[in-house]
Amino acid sequence: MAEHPALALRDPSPERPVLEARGLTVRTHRRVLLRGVSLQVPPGTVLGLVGPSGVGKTTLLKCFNRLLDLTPGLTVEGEVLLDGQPIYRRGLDTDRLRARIGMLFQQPVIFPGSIYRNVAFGLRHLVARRQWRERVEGALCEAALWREVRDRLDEPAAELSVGQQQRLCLARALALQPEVVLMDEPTGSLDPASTRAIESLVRRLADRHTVVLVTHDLEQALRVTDRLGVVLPRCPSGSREGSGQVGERVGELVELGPTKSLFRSPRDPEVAEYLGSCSASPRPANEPSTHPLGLPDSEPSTTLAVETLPS
Amino acid sequence: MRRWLDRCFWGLTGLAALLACALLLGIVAFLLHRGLPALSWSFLVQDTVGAGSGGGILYQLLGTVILIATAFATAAPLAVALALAATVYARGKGTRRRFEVALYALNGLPSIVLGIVGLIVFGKLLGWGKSWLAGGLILGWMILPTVTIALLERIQAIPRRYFEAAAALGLPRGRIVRSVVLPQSLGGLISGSLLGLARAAGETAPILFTAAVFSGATLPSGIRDNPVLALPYHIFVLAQDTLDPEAGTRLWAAAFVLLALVLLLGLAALPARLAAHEEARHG
Repeated sequence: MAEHPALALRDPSPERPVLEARGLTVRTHRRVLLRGVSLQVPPGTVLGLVGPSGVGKTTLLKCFNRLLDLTPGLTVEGEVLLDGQPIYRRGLDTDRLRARIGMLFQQPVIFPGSIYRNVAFGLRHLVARRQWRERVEGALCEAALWREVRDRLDEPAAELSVGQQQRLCLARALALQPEVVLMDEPTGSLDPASTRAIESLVRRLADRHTVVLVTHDLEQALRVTDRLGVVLPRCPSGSREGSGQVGERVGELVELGPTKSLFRSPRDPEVAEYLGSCSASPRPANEPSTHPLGLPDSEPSTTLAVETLPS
Repeated sequence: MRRWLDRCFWGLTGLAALLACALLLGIVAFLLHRGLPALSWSFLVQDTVGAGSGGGILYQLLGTVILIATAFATAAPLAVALALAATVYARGKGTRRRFEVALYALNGLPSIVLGIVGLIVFGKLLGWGKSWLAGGLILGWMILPTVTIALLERIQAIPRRYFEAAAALGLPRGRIVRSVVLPQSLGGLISGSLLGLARAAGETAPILFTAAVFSGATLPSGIRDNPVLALPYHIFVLAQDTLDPEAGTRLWAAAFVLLALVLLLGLAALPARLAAHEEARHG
């Protein structure tokens, strides 16, 4: 069976990172939220971002599609490059940019209306109407939802389960055929089965897209990411904690590297301490690990059947 | 002690609610008692005869409907524009707050002042004399804060994640307004408009100098010197000037019809208001 055009593989160019941040600093008029973040995301990889709550992971994620522009009073310094082009340059069409970078939020956001309308929501102003059906079906397939909803595309999307709604939101983003998919704790509000489904999808998405995943779940980061960045709160350099002159702690990307090697041998002691909590956290009964750091012994076993469109 | 205080508080709030309901029911009962002899279908569909001592209130009713329809047509688009400007396009909470303060100040403007402004602007400067359009515009201006604030509250109750999700899909701001904000805030527009119109329907002062006459008008055929009859003005004149007991009965009947109209508009707004509160509570 011929593959759906919407699912066609992109030609990867491994030389150049798809997404790159250079010295990215985000501040309000009172304080710095995130400082000096530099990272590169090669095409076709899943980059995980972990760190404690409130450290600025979501802020960093929203820098990548300029969604932070919607929050008044924030200033972004430094550079973010998408395919080598700076996205914080003057005159850039941010709407077009956001269409190239899909985003999935912690809670599924369902717009009033049918399943079909929800998936086609972003297509209206970018794609000719005659292509909508093809795009919607392709995106639903890619989000592993087609089989579950193909007979009820006109039914209200709100009637889907939360896990299905999250995959619907993913389909909505994928319908725009983005180069990069940003995920902000996408399994944060899901049950274990739906979480496994999303994790399996994230791995599959990496065949066609570049994924940046923010998660609190270190085991999830181990399971699904190729590279991992650890964002931790740090005092400004030169200041001492407790001296009374110390500014507030600011989020910094402390270490970045291949996920498994980062878990095995982190260079930074704070990163080691943070990632060490992974081995201490309880594992599901069906996923025994013999590794001292809790690394999985084998690839995740839960997979979703790859859906193809009916001919 | 704590249980006793709780019961006391419960009793006091219940008493306050009972008092408010009793007051409304008392007014309705009083109006019915005094106006019932005149109330009939023909009272609603007949023209007034003999300075209010006979006939019905057809043109007063139609005039009131014309005035509040014009007020709605004036206030609704302006309220949508203002609410969107304050919530979607204005940057910063300070601008929003100043905007809301201005709206509350406008809401507190005495209606007689608005009537005089209408007289000067429409009656004198534009030379319309007494005109239904002048009355409708002034009533629209009067209810603008009510409609705008209801709409503002409704838009602010839309969870922020809807804006972000739509923006993350690359939707331009105008498209987000059309596809997300307006459909979800329609309830606020409806409930605010109906509450505002309920108030406008009962106002006499703004139309006193601008739009209403006691007799000699039917349906307007133009703008300039085209006044209408209106229920509140009809009641006002009858209450002030008539000594005829038959006209007095019709006055109470007209007051009952006006009250029913206002209550109906308020009741019509209820489902939209409840839906808005439910949405705000559960996101």
